[in-house]
Amino acid sequence: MNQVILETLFNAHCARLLDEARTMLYDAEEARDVVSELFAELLQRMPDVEPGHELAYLSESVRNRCRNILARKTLTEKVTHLYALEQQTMTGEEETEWLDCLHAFIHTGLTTAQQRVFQLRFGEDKKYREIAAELGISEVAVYKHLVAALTRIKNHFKS
Amino acid sequence: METNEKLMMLLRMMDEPEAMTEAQLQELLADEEVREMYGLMSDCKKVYKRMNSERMKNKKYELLFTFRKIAAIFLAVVFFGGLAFAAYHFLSSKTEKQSVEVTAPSITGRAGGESSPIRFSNVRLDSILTVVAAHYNCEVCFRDTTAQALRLSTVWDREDSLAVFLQTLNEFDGLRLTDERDTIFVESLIVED
Repeated sequence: MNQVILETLFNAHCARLLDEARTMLYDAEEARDVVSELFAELLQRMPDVEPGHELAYLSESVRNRCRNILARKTLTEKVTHLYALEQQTMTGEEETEWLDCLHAFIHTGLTTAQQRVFQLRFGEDKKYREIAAELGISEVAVYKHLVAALTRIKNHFKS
Repeated sequence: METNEKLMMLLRMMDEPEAMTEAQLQELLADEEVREMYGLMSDCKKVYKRMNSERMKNKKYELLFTFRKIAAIFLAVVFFGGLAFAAYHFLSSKTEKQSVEVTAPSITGRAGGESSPIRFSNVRLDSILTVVAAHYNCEVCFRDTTAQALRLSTVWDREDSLAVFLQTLNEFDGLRLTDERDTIFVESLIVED
């Protein structure tokens, strides 16, 4: 594939691919490296991709690269950053759909306090004692909010 | 150990990873329910990371929009300023033109000085030629009436010959004056629309 086509693909899909990598790695720098390396490699050797399936191909390549990076991390590293433990079998689209559902439920099915704890923990990566101090509750109460919220989510999607 | 207790331990461990060994972690995560909860937490984090990234994008768009708005206002100011400037100059040049037209006609020369030049300022051509013809003892004949009403500003030195003065007048665009048989013939070369 010539450079012009690759450039067009890069311009058209770069932002989306970066988003996907960032969602898996939680790290903007690492995500940028993954996407850059992928395109650098494609510049050297581009396999035949059926027209119209370029994005799917690029997306799956990015996800595989992210999986490889995650596989090299130790269990402690994974747990500390809340990386996925298993190699996910969902496609990019399936995962997007699932995350959309989860997003919707977090904002409609959880209490305000639970949402606040989620925001501080998962959105702002705050430590439990920081969350406790910010909300004026004990650390144990933070754990309880988290466990209760996760149980509610689990039960909702199980049913 | 109860699943909930394990879950609490896992949450604690996530804040202080150094407090637990890799083996202890594996043991914790061997519990299917704990593992499931962990997976859920991981997905929740993804949800929030996506939200953050969307928010960043929106902020960028907002910034871009604000910048475009400022640029549009700036361009509008420049455009209307330019328009006002052009209008001012257009009108002022028009006013200047008009001021030439409304200048009171005058014929000036040093009083009593027969040899001093006469300055015609915004005077009709037929009036100029009446004065000049009287001096040179000749007639004036306008071949068309268009030229009669032309207003000119020029200087006539009475000591110059008629031919020299006519040459001066011939330098005006659209005008041709000739001297034939003691008559000044005037032709307008301006083609009227």
